[in-house]
Amino acid sequence: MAESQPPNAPAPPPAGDAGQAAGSAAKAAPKAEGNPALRAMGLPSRFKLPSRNWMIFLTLSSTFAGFLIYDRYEKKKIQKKWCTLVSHIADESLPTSTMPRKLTVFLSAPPGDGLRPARDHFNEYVKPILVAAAMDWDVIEGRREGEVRTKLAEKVRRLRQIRGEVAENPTEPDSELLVQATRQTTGIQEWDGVKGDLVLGRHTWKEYLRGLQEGWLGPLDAPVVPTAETASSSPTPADSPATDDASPTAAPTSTSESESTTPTANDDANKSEAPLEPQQEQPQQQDQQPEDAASKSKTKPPAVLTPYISPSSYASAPLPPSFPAELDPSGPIPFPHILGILNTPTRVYRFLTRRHLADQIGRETAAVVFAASRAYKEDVPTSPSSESSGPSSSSSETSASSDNSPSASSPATSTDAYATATTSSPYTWEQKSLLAHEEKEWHKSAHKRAENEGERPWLESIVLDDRIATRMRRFELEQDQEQRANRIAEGKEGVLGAEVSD
Amino acid sequence: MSFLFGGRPQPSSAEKIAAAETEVEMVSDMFNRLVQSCTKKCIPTDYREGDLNKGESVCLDRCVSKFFEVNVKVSEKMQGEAAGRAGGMGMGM
Repeated sequence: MAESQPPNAPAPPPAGDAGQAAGSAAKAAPKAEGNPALRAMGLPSRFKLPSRNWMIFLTLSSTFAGFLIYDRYEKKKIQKKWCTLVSHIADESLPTSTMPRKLTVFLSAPPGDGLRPARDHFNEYVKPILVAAAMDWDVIEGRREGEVRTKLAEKVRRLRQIRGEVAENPTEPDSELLVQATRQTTGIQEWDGVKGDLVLGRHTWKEYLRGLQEGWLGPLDAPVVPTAETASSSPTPADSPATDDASPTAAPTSTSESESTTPTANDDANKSEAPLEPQQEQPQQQDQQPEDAASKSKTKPPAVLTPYISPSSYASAPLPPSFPAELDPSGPIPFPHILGILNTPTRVYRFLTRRHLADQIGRETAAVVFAASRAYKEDVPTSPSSESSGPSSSSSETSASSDNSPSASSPATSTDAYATATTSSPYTWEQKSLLAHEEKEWHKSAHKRAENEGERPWLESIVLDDRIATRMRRFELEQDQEQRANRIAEGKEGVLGAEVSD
Repeated sequence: MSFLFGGRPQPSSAEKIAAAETEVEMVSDMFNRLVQSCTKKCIPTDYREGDLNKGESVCLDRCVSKFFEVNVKVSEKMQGEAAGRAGGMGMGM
């Protein structure tokens, strides 16, 4: 039939379909209408799952979002827990004639990065707890390597001068001293308890230890630097007489900061009347430079000064008469910081597990707030095969106990002259190994040594004088506070002394 | 407050007294504003005791310090502008 012909072609497929449909007649009806389970419950059954690609996308994004949201939620809870632990301190009364407790926070730009990550780290993890406990704090910041050391050493030297030690060039009184004098006259008392130092990161910790020792064990006056070379001409070796007690390192270090130290160096050189004949021309050239630089340096001292004492001379330096029986306790705060595109998995992992870091830092900061401190441990090395000799020998020039400290991970302790020159101390101080794992993460630019560079506190291993190390203390949270924090986390306890609203 | 040019005559004692009076008024006005502003910001309305606690103390310290810094910065700016204009128009601030 003519009618059956045209429908021949389309006929078999519909016939096939009809055949299949007829074959699965029982399933055809529900297939057309959707999920039988939903239909049976009376719910609209028109929904279908998204396509395969959408499923993949949604799975990945929702797992990532889930990790993130969970982590941030937990982090907030943890920070709230630590804040609740300490917030009763903010409600204690303080007479108006007493200054509040003022901590000192040491921030330094991590190697390879700027100051902002350090500040953000402080603001995110440490500051909420300090604010909850109504602590006042003072920040010592460092943008370059060595700035924190310089500032801390200056601060300690100033303190020594206030306590009565006489220096040849006493530091000029600045507004800080005036304020303190005004407070004394008006009868406002300083905080008489323990204050405390918070140090963020291994790099800052190293500079802190250096600055502390330089301040207490070093001289009050800047060592006479041999006449510095001009910044423009190539460095010529100085012929002036040897400097006093400090540093053979002063010569090479002066070139690195030649622009900033030419004013001071030239002043010293001119005052001390060193044999300047071979260098008569240089001071004349340099006079123009220091005059330009001196006007700048009058307003601002150079950021990084050459150290007044080198670590190798720590042991031979006398303790100053104003040395306290105990130094302010310190709280080293971990500051994990890693750069590099190949480290992206690590960074993503850390981004998703910030709650652990918040817990750790919260614990440390709460310990600082409670002012609960203990002495640093001095683990005597016991292995006879170790490089450092035991307490009996005194003349060995091994790299002392610094390499044997539990920090075995730091590859950064390459050639450093200071550690080998130290006298062997029988102690492996805990301070040396604290936060040592962070050194692996430093950017490789930090390990590059430029020519004629001064000392690099980051790259050299920690040298600790025993007299200073015994007097240092560390903030550590007490057991009952720790248990109270756990109870707060479980919700069984709240702010100490707060009224319950039942 | 006002800078006098070389040609002006010295202020008489009455003017000096008036200047001193205005200065006292300014200082007390600033004091009152400071106290009001920092009390509003730092001291919550629901307190149970008369002593300042540590949180409030620290907050007040910072509030006063910020107030003075803002004051100094603003007055520096204004003096700079006024000096610029004074050079042009011959008028003192």
